[in-house]
Amino acid sequence: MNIFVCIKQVPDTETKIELKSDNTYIETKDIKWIMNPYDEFALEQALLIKDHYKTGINVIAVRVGATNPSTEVLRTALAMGADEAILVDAKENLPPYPTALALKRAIDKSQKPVDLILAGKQSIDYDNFQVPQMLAQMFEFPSISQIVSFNLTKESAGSKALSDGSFFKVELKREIEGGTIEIYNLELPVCCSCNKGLNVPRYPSLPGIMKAKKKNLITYSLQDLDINDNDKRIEYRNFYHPPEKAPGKKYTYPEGDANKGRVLVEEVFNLLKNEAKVIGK
Amino acid sequence: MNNNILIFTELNHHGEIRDVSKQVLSNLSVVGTDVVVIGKVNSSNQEQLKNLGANKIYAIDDPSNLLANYSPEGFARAISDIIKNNTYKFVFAGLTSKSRDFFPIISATFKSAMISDVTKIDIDGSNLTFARPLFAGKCLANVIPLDNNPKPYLITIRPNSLPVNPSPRVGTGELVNVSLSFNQLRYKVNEIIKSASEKLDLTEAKIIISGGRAMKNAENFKFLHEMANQLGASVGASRAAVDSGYAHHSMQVGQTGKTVSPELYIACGISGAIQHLAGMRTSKYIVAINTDAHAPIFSKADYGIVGDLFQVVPIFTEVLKAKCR
Repeated sequence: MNIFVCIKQVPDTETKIELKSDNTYIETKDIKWIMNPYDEFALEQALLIKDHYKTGINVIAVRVGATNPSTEVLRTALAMGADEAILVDAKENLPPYPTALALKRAIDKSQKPVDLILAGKQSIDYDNFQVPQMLAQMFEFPSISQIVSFNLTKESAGSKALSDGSFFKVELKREIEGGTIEIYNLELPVCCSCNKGLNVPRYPSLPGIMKAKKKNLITYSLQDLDINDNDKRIEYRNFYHPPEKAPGKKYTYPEGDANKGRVLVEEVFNLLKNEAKVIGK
Repeated sequence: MNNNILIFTELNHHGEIRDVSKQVLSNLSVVGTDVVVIGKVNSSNQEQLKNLGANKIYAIDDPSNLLANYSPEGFARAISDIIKNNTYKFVFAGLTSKSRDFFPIISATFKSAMISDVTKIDIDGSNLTFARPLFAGKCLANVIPLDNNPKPYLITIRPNSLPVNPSPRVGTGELVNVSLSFNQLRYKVNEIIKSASEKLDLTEAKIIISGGRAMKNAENFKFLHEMANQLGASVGASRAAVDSGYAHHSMQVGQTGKTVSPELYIACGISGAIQHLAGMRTSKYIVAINTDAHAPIFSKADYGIVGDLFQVVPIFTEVLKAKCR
């Protein structure tokens, strides 16, 4: 079984975002890059399957993105346990549609049959929440987004065999608004996007890091995949910071004095009611 | 009249038009819109949609209840059928768990781009451009459609980011019943476990009360729930509280949780890590309760109380009980 895991490289969550002087993008020179946290859940799920079945599971990490200033995340994926990696060198951060198209064509070009696709539910830089569902549609696979549970079982028969002749069923749980859970029972292949809560991603081990250096990493250019500017369809312009808030009012609670405390809280209540007009309407 | 815009409009489980759909409709009424609804459109919905600017109202008739439960495939195909037979330039929806899930499927179906989580629309005649937050709101950017899409751009609008236009241009409100073009689905949900809570999802809540690491344990969140009940608020949590096991991940506000824009956000025992501020900074009003007077959360707060949340929150609940009756 071939499991493709889509991985994006994003700035660390604690990064303070500065803009380029011409406002065409963010300033990237001091950024610490990490694997998109939701993609870690996707990769971990693939590795859990590999750990469980021991043989016959091939995990391929695929990334579309700029190689300057860093390409570390695919090496991290290999060090965590992925078998191979494919990089599409995009020179810049592409919008979701051409990203999904590049992933599709890179996977096709690898000539490996696709049995399962896993991705993070969204990247924490652009937060589009689009690529996994687009990819599902491009492969005509069922699309199940933001899964919190993935329960795979090997079957002796089914309606469609995977590339190696095996049959697998999966029970997927996804959490939607208000905490409601939807459960899907499907046969592979499927394309899932992963949410926090699915598993606890492992750290790369030292032997893993050593082994990763010898693993196969293929690079394609966008030209190799016949993707050009016309596939972008949208353009980002004029990056800007949100307006800063004027300083607010700050009070110190009189510790241990419930009566004075109540007077203070009533004052804040009155401000919320009469000045902000957000409560007691 | 030929409209450029179609709006996927959702009803809540009481059959009423969802607030986020009203926000999208009323803001786009100036350019003329059609609307598509999956499910029954009663006469009061029809009247309301008309007053919010709708011209044609496509009601997707589903006699075999194929779409009674949400289906990514089914919803995408139903809306794609309307798109296929028309010349819309844009298809909008409020950003909900449904539109966020199935709009990208439509996008890939037509090889058309999608722009998610838009917080600002600039209207210049029939040209629309957008702005949306990036890096969880640490910065924003304008997004320009390049007009080379084979079919319409798909756009989702963040809830509570566009105030409802109080005087939208009234539409013609013509009801068009549409039958589904398909009678089976390749895959569908097998079971649904409804959450016990009737509370609004954080992304749509008008008021949110969140707790951080200083909550100390899961049980103490009851203080926030008691206060939330007085305000009709939803309860959220910081990443520190979620990672410590005090709260469920669906409650997490911040860069690896939910990005929220309520009218009022009350942060209790949250210091204000950069990834948390990113997820709630667009709240209209922010109240912070924290023992550390130098906590970064105070720099974003309209009203800050330096104090112990375990003293302040119960008194706040009492004040609300006394004054909000």
